[in-house]
Amino acid sequence: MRNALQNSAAMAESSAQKQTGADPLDAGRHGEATREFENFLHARIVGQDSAIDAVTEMFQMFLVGMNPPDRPVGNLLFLGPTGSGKTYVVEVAAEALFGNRHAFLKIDCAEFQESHEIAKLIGSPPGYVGHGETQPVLTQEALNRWHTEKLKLSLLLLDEIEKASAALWQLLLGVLDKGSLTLGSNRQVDLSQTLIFMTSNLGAADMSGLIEGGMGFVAHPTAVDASLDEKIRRTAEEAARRKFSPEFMNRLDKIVVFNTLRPQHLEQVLELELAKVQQRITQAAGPTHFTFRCSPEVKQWLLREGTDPRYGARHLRRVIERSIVYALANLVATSQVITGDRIHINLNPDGTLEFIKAAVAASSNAAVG
Amino acid sequence: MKAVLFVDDNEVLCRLTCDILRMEGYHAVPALNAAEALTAFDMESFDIVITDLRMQGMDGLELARVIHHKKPQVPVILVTAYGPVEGDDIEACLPKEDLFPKLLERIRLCLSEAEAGNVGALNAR
Repeated sequence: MRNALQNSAAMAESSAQKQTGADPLDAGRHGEATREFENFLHARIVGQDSAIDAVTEMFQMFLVGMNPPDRPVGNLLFLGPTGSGKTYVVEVAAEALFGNRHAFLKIDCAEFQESHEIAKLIGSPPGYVGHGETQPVLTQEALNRWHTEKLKLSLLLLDEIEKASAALWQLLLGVLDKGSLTLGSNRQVDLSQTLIFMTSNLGAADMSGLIEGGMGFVAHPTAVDASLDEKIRRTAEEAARRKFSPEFMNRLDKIVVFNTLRPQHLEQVLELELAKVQQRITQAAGPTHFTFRCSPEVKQWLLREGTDPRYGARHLRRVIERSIVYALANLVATSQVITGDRIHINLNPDGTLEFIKAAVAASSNAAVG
Repeated sequence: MKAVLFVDDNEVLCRLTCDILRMEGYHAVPALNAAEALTAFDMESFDIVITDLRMQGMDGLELARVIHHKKPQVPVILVTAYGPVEGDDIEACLPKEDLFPKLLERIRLCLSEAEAGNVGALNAR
């Protein structure tokens, strides 16, 4: 978390201490709430430390009231290959802050590719078609929906920002700069308590080329290493600078390029995702839930089937969903699995998965609907 | 994003199914009985409703009838472990033995039929 500014501040403090004998201050140290927030993100987000650092820094600034007034709390641009977790970071931040991973306002910029569609976002002005008929998407109420007594912070996600229309761009420049927006009805929306995330797949084709090993007679996925991440970072940033105006780039507090997930990251993602499936079952069924356990061979199989550098963790999640969750849902639907059961999932020699009930629950009189 | 209301008194199934639906790109809302489903239905706009047949209180067929009365354009899929059921208020009936992935295929089909204004065309299937 220490950047150059913090390091120089620490060096200056150290030198001051030599002169005065005072204890040095650690400008990089986080308060209790920020540490908890950061730990929450680290426990759930794999391989994207720079994104965690950026979000944590903004949150810390907000908590201590150091974010600039009359501007959003932070304007973050997330770039990177698909499936690297750009939207996921926002979801986890929302879960950390509000206990709900959907506690943010998401605007899919692909839905506003035509300039006239901006009315859906801010409402039609008086005298125009649709005025007063449809509720605008970006309202103060929608932004503040998740505010709590203790935390008056809103999260706004502008997804696939590169697909925004010219009219949306104009609107965004004002929002990013002044932290306010005028709706069609002339009402003002205050975004000075809002952390704005923008995601983009810009450079995706070039990034895929890098990941797949570029042109050649034998196309094979490139090994994921630090130099590949550096190439992807440069590719994404160059694509962003080509596409976005300097006015837009100047309004960003931070650009984060997401790393391609390495095999060890995917192993961690696999464990997290399997734990999440178990957690869903536990939350739904209470303390007498059924449990499941995948054999090491099944985990290796899931990793093999779910690893595709082009699609990152999303592909692995899909494979887990289709091979484990579909089957568990079918077993629950037919009451073959009930509370108290322990399910072992093994790999058959023919590559199919086998679900075995390791312990039969005492009560097996669950009703079938 | 299409909105799906999933109704089943088995909470684990409800939760797992809604997670699968979200993974497939739907806005999925769970309801554990017909009363909860009707409250949700009145508060939000849904593109499709999937309901279990046998539930405490109002059953799935009766729920389908009420929903059809409220919004005839919203298709209802019935899922059951008790053999095929037919009715004017349901678009399709799926056996629980083989819920996934068939349910997803049927949702896609029903939604595309509904978009084309053909709700009711699938009754015979």
